[in-house]
Amino acid sequence: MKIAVCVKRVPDMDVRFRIGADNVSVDETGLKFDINDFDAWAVEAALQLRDKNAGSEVTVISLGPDVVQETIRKALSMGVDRGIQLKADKVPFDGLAIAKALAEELKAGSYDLIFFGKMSPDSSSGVVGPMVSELLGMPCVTAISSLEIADGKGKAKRELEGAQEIVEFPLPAVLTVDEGLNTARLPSLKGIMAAKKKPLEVKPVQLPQPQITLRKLELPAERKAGRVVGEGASAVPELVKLLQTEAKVL
Amino acid sequence: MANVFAFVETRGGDVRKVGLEAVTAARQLADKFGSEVHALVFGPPGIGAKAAQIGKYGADVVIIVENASLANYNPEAATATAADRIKSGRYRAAVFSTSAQGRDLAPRVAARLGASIVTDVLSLEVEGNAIVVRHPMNIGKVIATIAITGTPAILAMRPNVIAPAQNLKAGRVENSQPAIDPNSTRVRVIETKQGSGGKLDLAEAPVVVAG
Repeated sequence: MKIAVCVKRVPDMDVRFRIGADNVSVDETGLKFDINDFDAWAVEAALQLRDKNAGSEVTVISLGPDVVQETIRKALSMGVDRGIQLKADKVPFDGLAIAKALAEELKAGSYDLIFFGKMSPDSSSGVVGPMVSELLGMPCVTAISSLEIADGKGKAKRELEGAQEIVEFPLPAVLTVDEGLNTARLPSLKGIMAAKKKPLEVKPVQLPQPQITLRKLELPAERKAGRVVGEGASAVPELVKLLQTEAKVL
Repeated sequence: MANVFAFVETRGGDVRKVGLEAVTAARQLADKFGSEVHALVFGPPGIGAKAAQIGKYGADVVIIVENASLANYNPEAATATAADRIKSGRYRAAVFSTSAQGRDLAPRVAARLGASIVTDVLSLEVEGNAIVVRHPMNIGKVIATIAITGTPAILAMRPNVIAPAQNLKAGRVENSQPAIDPNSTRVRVIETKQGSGGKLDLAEAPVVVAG
């Protein structure tokens, strides 16, 4: 099997973000970056399939400036066979522009499976995987939380709001990975050493003109502090009254 | 005329609240353009009976696509049907929902039309030639204001940010067919398990109490 995984370098979300001087980017000073969690689960899914199917190969692809090589090396240290950087000055916000650049590279690779994380927390769009599938005319199942592949066919589970879907599909296919599919392995010391010698190809890409423009970024308004109505059972009537008259939720 | 398209999400033969929210959001845009809302309802036989309800939420035209093979979501048939209609109707904008189904469907439709998309839309405005929307980034810690200049503009509303508003319209009904045979698609949802240990349906919840 030939398997591709598309990964993104994203900042750690457990911080207070600051807006950059240009007003349309996040200030990256002091931010820690790593592979997107959903993408790490996609890498894990690809590695498990490769190890079950002799003669398989996993390629990791990331679009962006040279700093994404760090993210590619992380995937290589987990066990991915080779990496491709689609070199661009920056990662655009427009998912279609990213999808077009990735699709151009992926169509030449004749992959049996193309994995994506279901979304990345920074742009919070979750559109690139299904867009690529459409541009390549390939079957696609998004946000999978279980996966079985056998005899050129696949079966997956998707989590919906309050329900689940069981989906069948033929290969080749595009899959986007949700939480719960697996636990991503940590790179071993041996893996980290081996990753340094694995092939990492750098290919410059021209991104198409975006049809959407970021006008500004801002921090959300601070939430008002909570109010303590009282303590113990005696406060309940007052709380119920406020929920009815002020919050209007009952 | 710059009409606005809305995709009305259904599950199990019922219209979901997020589907009505998409109609209301489309109505807001159409009122600014002085145009019509055309809402597409896609599902199993009987879904057409919901047409009057959708008109009540501001759709001028309700396009009903009923097919016995649409008891479960069919991503390829839904993509083809929505994309064909958006193209032939020359819509200025198309509104979807950022639900599990909408996250799957809307980007495919956008890619098929060669259009960009903004998901999780919090609010929308019209400024000159652009539709200007707000979208949360970095797990809601940053809010982006984004201008969409391409046509059609493809938007997916975040659930629960627009209350479905009644806006009586005649809701002229048009019956249509899936653009491709749902039995011929490569990807097939063979089962939808309701409430079987899946996540709670917060998108349909008017109030969420967390501790």
